[in-house]
Amino acid sequence: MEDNSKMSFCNRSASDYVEAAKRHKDATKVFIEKAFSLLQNKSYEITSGCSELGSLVKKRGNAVISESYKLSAYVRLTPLSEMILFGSCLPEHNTGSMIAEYISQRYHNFLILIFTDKDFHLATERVDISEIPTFSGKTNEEIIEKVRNFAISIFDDRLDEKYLLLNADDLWEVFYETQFLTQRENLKLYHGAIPKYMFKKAGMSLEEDFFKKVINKNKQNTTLDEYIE
Amino acid sequence: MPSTVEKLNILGEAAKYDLCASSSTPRSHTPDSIGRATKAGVCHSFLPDGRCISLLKVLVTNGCIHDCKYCINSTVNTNCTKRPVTSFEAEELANLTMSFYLRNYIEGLFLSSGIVRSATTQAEIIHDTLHLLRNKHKFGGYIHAKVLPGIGYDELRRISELADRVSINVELPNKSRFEETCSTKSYQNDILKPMNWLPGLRSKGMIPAGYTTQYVISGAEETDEEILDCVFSFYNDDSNFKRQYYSTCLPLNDDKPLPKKFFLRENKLYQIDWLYRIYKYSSTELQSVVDDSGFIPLNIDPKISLARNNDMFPLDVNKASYLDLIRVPGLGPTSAKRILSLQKQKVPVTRPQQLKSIGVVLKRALPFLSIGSKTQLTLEKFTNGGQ
Repeated sequence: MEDNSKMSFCNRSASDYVEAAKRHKDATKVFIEKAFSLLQNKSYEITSGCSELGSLVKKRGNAVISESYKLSAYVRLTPLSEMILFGSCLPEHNTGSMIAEYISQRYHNFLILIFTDKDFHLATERVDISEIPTFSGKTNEEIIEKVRNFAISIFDDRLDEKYLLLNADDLWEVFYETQFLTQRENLKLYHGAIPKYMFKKAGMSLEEDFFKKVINKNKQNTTLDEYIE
Repeated sequence: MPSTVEKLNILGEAAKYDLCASSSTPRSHTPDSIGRATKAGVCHSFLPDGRCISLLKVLVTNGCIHDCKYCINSTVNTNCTKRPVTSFEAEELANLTMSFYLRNYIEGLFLSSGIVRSATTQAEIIHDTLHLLRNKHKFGGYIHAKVLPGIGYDELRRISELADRVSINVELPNKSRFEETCSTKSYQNDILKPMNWLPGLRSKGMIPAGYTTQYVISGAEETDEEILDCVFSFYNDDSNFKRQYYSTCLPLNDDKPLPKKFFLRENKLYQIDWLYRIYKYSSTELQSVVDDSGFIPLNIDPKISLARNNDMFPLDVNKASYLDLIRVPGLGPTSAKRILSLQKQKVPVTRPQQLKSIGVVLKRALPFLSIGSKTQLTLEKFTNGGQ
């Protein structure tokens, strides 16, 4: 077989799309088998999307990659002094581990713990952990406590307590609101970056509340003439 | 003494007009650093004005001795803003940056400042903050520092050692326009002189993410022709600016949403900027878009305008090179690379639908392409359709 799976369009190869499409919520065993077969025989159909199956694999792959990329940026974390950062989100696809791994590349000295509605995922790039053990627990708090105890037993370093500012979220809210330029209001552009469903998926309640505030202000300011226009 | 929340409210608000986009940097990180900037750059949130938030964007102080007409912090506009003058302490700002960074709110810090006494003194405070972040707090994230007008070489060098990117706002395209808006700064000594130090610092390995500048559009009576002359001179090999930003001068007293047409001029300048940097048009070609009055026509896409006057079209999509393909309206670098990939794999494009599936905007592109021996739509039909 000719290995042309790496003949990519831009940065993504056909195998990237197939690997991502495997995590799609609608990916059945039959679909995955067909996608792999297409990858081996006509990978250009995936990258160009020029056949029905190729297009479907690409579309599903893109949906997974996009969700993982967006949630890795939008999910908010809570730092613990034991070099742990944890957060939660509600991904539509099976992207929890992708998100945890992506975040661990940015915070390479931390143990990253991401909760989803179904399970949780741990990732780290620390070199003093050869293997992350398996944890279990009935509640998120229980799991955090177990991971915390594990970190205490392994890591020598600790995070400075002053970074654990309790009011950091309130400070962020203040900062976020200061950055808005009313004169440049552009909700279409805004929703291109943060679609409404993302508020819930990423737990972006601050953004959602502020968006509602802007909408309500517009409603109050609209005159009858402007409304008719 | 205001609290951190009050300071953040004032100094965040004062910095909101500054532009910064990318947070990508090729800087290597140290193993003991907290965090690292990614090569791709990340936007952590967006505002209802469509702009992204990737950095904690604040001023060290909003006090300023300069009288720039367009600036919310200048001596001539203090009556409009009625904001008390306040300042961040270096340690306070460093702690705030770390706290936000660890919560995945930001990718790093964008630090600018008003000038209370002198640019040198203020630059020292910016340096102290960055030094604390990088050395005491081991911050490995992204830092964009503003170069203050009138800064000395030593201060600029020391800031450049710590920041990923620096930027100095040229604001207006030449000396005479600059003097229309500000009487307390010298265009030559305060703006161009520090700008000329930047290529040398970069060649020594500092400021790995490069340097940028920003224009305030309609800040004076400047024309697009004047702006483009300045833009192209800054993109040449000697200056080698990474990006240039264009920001429409906003009315400081009016807080209502403005119609999109208010920002059209800024939009056209960005289009020209992208055609130069990404689509590799020459400065001479792009300057030909400007009309007799010195402005870019607002009612037409500059790329279409240039394509209409070019004999190279229609292009054979199965034979065209990358540089020719990206000149086709409705076709960008991504879709051009995809077409090239099909050419390499010897998969001919035989139907417009194939082009659509790889991201080409057919309505714009078809008049300028031939698929096989066919041109898909005549220019006349396209023009009439567009009207």
